[in-house]
Amino acid sequence: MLPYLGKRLLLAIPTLIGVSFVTFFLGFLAPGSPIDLLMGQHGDPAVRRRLEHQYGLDLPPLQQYRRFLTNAVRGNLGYSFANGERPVSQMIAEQFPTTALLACLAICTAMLLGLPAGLIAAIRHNGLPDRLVMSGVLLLVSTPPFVLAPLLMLLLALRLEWLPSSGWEGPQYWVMPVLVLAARPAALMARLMRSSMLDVLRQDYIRTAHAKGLTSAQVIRRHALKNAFLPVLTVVGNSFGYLLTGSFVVETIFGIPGIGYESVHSILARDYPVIQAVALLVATIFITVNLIVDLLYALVDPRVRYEAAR
Amino acid sequence: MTADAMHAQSARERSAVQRLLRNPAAVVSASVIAAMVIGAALAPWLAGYSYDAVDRANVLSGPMAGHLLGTDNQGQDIWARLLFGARVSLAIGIIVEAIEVLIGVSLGLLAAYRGGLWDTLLMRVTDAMFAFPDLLFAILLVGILRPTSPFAGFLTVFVALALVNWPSMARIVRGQALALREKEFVEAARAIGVPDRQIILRHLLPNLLSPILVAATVDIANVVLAEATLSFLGIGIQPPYPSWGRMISDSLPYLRSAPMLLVYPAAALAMLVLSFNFLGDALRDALDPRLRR
Repeated sequence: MLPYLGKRLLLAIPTLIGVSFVTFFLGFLAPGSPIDLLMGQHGDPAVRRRLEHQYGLDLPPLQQYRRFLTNAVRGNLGYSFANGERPVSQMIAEQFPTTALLACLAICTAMLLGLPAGLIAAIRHNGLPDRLVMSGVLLLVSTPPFVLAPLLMLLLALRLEWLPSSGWEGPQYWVMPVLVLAARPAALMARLMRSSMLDVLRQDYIRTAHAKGLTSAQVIRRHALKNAFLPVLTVVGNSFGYLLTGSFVVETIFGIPGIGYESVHSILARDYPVIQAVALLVATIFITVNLIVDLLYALVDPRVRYEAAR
Repeated sequence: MTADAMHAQSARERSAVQRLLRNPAAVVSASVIAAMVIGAALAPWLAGYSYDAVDRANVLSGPMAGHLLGTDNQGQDIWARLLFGARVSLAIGIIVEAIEVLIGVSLGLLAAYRGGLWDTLLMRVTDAMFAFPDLLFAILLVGILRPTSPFAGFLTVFVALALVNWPSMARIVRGQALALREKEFVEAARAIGVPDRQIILRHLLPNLLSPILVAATVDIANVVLAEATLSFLGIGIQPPYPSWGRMISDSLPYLRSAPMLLVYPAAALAMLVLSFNFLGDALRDALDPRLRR
């Protein structure tokens, strides 16, 4: 277990360096200089030189990259071009908790909705509940957040006036964004839970459990559930990647002051330091979550051993 | 291939088509896709307007004579923009998928058949790509490169989506090809001295067609969604050319006064994506009845 953990952590480092490298040098391929943004109307060459020096843009690219990396390791992610030269790490520290809350609520909602739905579909295999769940899954997988969000807003906020349409001031503001974000992960979890449960229910030990006289509910609760849940863990981990991307759309639509909202603005404003920082942050979270999921796998299922084999 | 084997194969294909035709969801979704392809192809003739024609006398009008579905906030005909938007969605979905299949199949086969360094390389690169949410990668890529001309805009979207999506196809092909390589008929072919090229083209590829077809169909849905997301965020297809994603984001300020501005493109997008997803599921059931559950 420990060597495996060490190996995974070591493998995460080249991936992170790769992500930082790609995002950093993509900035050089971009048309126009970010300094133009800061200069605004005045074209004084002395001001330009001062700004270029202040942001380190007068250094050779590789040296800029090294500076970016060493600063990033020390927690300094540079300064925003667009946002009054504020430190990027400070912006992220302010906005990240909102996005994290949104993502965690969404993942919990997705599990609460998706897992029981998949379970019922598997138990009532080919019956009406199964058909309903599977149609719902396809419908939700095919409806992107930027379609679902305005539709919910139209119905729940503008027509029925049950919920506030946008903003982020209290729990009643959380309902719609969380539902929109949870929709796709819930559908994917339901689909996988169903097929995984069907697999397990075909196993010999399930037949044995039935044969020794347990009720169906007991068989499912004691023997099937735990084993069926294992593969679903992977989807839970992967969902975080989707949630982070989805937060770009959802936070923009609902006007939520989180990382996603900030990122979209930064992308439209070509604010590279912020974009680079977000890319690094997302990669770090995604890698960490997937590592935790893999470790949980080993904890939940003793058959999974992470020895030198991998 | 012997006459018997050929007969068996065509019989198998016939029964797959029959199974597909017996599935109402498959027939409906294939018809929806076909209708949208025809609508997109004939857009200039069916629309009645150009996608950027402006009717200043009728802004935000409901359905009326001359404007089948009414006009948007700029006085542009919604029906026309939907049809031209279908062109964007379908062209991007199909072309990106074709590029992806090409890259994924060649690299997947190469890795599976040659093994060794090629395989390690493919696995490491795809691992690295999987370590980052793919749509987010496309957003960052297109966002940073944000091109200035409309043509460069199209090109960037194509490249970004193809770049982001090929690894999963390569993994699928590699996995299937690795399993097939160990089958007796491949071993037999190798034993009688059939060259590698022929083994790959005659024995591996035909057997890989169904998993590739299924994965590609479902994947088109994801590519279409990805393009709509980019356009929704304002970094995909640039105006004046219409995209459904862009139409949806443009409709948001008028959600209260003119909700149909949202409903039309949203319904079109959801229907197209749903159809590809349904068709993919149905293809899986028809091509491989063993997987049916």
